[in-house]
Amino acid sequence: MLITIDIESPEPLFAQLVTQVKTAVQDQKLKPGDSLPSIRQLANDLDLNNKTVAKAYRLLERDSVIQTRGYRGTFVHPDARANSKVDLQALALNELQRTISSLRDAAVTDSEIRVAFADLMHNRN
Amino acid sequence: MFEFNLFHLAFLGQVLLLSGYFPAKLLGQMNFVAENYPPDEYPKLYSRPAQHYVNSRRRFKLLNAVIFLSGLALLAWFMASTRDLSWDGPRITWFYLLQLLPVILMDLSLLKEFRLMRLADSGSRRQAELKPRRLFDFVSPVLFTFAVAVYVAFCLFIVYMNQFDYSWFGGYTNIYIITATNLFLVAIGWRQLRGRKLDPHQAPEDRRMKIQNILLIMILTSIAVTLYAGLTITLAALELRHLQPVTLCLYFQVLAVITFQAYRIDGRNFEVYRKTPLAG
Repeated sequence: MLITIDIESPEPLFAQLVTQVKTAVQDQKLKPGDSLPSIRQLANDLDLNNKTVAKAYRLLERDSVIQTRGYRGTFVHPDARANSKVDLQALALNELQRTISSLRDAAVTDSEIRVAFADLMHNRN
Repeated sequence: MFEFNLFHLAFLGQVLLLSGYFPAKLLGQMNFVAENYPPDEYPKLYSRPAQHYVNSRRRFKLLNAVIFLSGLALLAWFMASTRDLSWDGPRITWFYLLQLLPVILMDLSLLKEFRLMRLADSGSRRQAELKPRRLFDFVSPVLFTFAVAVYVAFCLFIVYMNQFDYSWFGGYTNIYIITATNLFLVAIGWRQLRGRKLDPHQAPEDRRMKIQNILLIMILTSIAVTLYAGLTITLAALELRHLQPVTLCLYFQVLAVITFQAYRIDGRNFEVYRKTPLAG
């Protein structure tokens, strides 16, 4: 199966990789247990930085779409198909939208929301 | 006298094969590509002006012709002079290195060509196979095991030979040299398997074919190098050193036959170099 990235696309490169792997899983081009290339191999083949591919793999692993089995390599997760349908970005957007709406209803200004959001994110990091 | 005739025949074979037959084959391939995949239809294949490639081919032809004639001159000298055959090894080796020169220059030029291709590549889309490349996807485990077995057998042979007090015997240095050579071959194979794609337009199936080819060459070379080292020591131990130049000539020819496979272009997808690719 071929993966294609567009380096001029406004979508970040790691996000393109994540989307394409999830799409391949949903289309059953990638099946549970299929092995994936190593980070270095894929980065070399796509002429990308290792960190970009590592970030995509980290996100896919977080979403339980892939799993790393030590030195044996990276494989498609047994529940990858179900897990690849969960769009965490959409979930985050919905949650934030709901929170922002309720804050606005309580007469909190956008500027105050931004400062509060930045503070929380800053503290979290 | 028989050994001399045998050696002259083997050396003539080396000259004909390495400076005649293979260069002619390579030139034939270069001309075939130039005629069938011209720059106006396949611009991605050429990163320099057309005249540059004409000159390169001419230089390659000339250099090989000079080396071919030098080989014949050396053969005439071998036939005319009276000498101890066992001293011809270094002369043949130096001549072999000279025979490799045009191919080495061609390879360096090709590397530069790929670099220019990558710089000129204005496409924003990049493709890769979402499949790991593992050694045994490309190479037969039996062949690989055989190469390892030959290496282990060589090491045991050296340990055995080390018991005897031969003044010419290098002892464990033989193991170090063969190990270093094998590690070098492994590094080349590893680079092919996991390294960056040199040609930015190369089709995935072409890349797989190329990797398979190179890995096979590396394994066959490893077997040939190790066996030859063992043979050289055996000949010396049996007081048959005068046969070494013959075996050396044959060894160089075997190596040439193996490595020539890396330059074959049959089956390659040239459509990826078209202005508007039709495939790949």
